[in-house]
Amino acid sequence: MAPELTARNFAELTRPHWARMHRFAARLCRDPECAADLVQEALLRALKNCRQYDGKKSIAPWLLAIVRNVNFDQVRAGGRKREDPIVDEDLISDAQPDSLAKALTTERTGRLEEHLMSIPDEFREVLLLIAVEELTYEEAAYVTGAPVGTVRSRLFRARAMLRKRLADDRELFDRDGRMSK
Amino acid sequence: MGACRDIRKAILDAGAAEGWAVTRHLSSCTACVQWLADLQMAEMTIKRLPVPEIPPGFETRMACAIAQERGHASEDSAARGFRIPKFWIPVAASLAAAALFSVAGIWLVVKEKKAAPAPFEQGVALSVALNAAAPLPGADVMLHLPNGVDLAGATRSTGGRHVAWRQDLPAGNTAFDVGLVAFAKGDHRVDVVVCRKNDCATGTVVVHAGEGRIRLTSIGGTVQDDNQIGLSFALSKTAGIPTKEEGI
Ligand SMILES: [Zn+2]
Repeated sequence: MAPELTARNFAELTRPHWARMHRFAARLCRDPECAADLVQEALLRALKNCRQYDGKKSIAPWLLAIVRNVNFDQVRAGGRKREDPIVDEDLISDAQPDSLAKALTTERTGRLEEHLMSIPDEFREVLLLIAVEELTYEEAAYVTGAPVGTVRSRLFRARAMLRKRLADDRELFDRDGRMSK
Repeated sequence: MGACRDIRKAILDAGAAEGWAVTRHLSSCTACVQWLADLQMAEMTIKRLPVPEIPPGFETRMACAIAQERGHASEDSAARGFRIPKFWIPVAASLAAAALFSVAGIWLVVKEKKAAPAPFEQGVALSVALNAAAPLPGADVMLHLPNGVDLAGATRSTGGRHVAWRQDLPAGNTAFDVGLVAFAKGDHRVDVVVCRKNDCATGTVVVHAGEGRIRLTSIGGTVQDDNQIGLSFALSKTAGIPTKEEGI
């Protein structure tokens, strides 16, 4: 069991997770400049509420949940809205043959990043938590405050959105499915 | 395709390829099996993305913010072992005009050493002079003490901690002394950090404890003689580490 989190040991116990918080924040807030501010704000909020951390669970989901909540509050305070999910997007048609296999080998990571960032927040965050941060469905549900079933469905839809964007990317692939220059 | 669409929609809704109808369809439809594999592959593409780069000075800035929040010299009692000398030899420094403000010149002087009682304890006095080109009201000064080094007066190392306090730095020199004790042989890095809001600068001092006399050296600084060290840096607007290092 993890030791109790206090103001005294806070920096020591959370420091191993700062890079991970930053990675999550950078892909959450779209603006690369905001990630460090977001993590700082999240750490200060975590420090103020360190007694709320339940030492029985891993500390990472708790910290990531705070990053997410701070981002959510900032988005709301800034008058921006988390985008509504795109319900009419056709996620189930067939893709270009082989295009996704080529996407895996493409060097054009800038395009991949753009496609990832174009996925609406509530789907992207689940994809990041599970695919990148390697949380379990239960942990991702804790971070997002959504039921596990919803998390699973969002994960699959996020994958389908990404698949569609990659397959539709005419700049990434030419008509024959070959990677363009 | 009608059946395929229904099956795929069911998979997206459930977030899993489960259920009798789904598994039965997948056993005979290569298009849907491929579609499912594509979903997995799409996820794998993002694992290949480069990790967003951590800005320089990120760790220091976070440590500084945390130390600040913990209440400036309260429970960590920066007062223990600190005093501001009445006099300090001014250190002149000219720094990049682009910097919002600057702090130049950390001077470290080894003043004393103690005998090392068992198991191990070596003391050293660190004198730091901060030279601000312009007044810095509400600057946060922090020492990051690694595991194995603590403030003089401590009976054992608390295992790595930050000591921070806030003070107004006038233009020119401000100096303070701090007594340090090493509880383990070897080299220990002590970071000296000055922050104002999100702008931070740091200098690193290495405490060499062990055989013979305890010594201090700096990383990127200039050793003037046996026991004097000069570090210069500018606080950068973009938060972080020294944008410039000059020997004095
Ligand atoms: Zn089918």
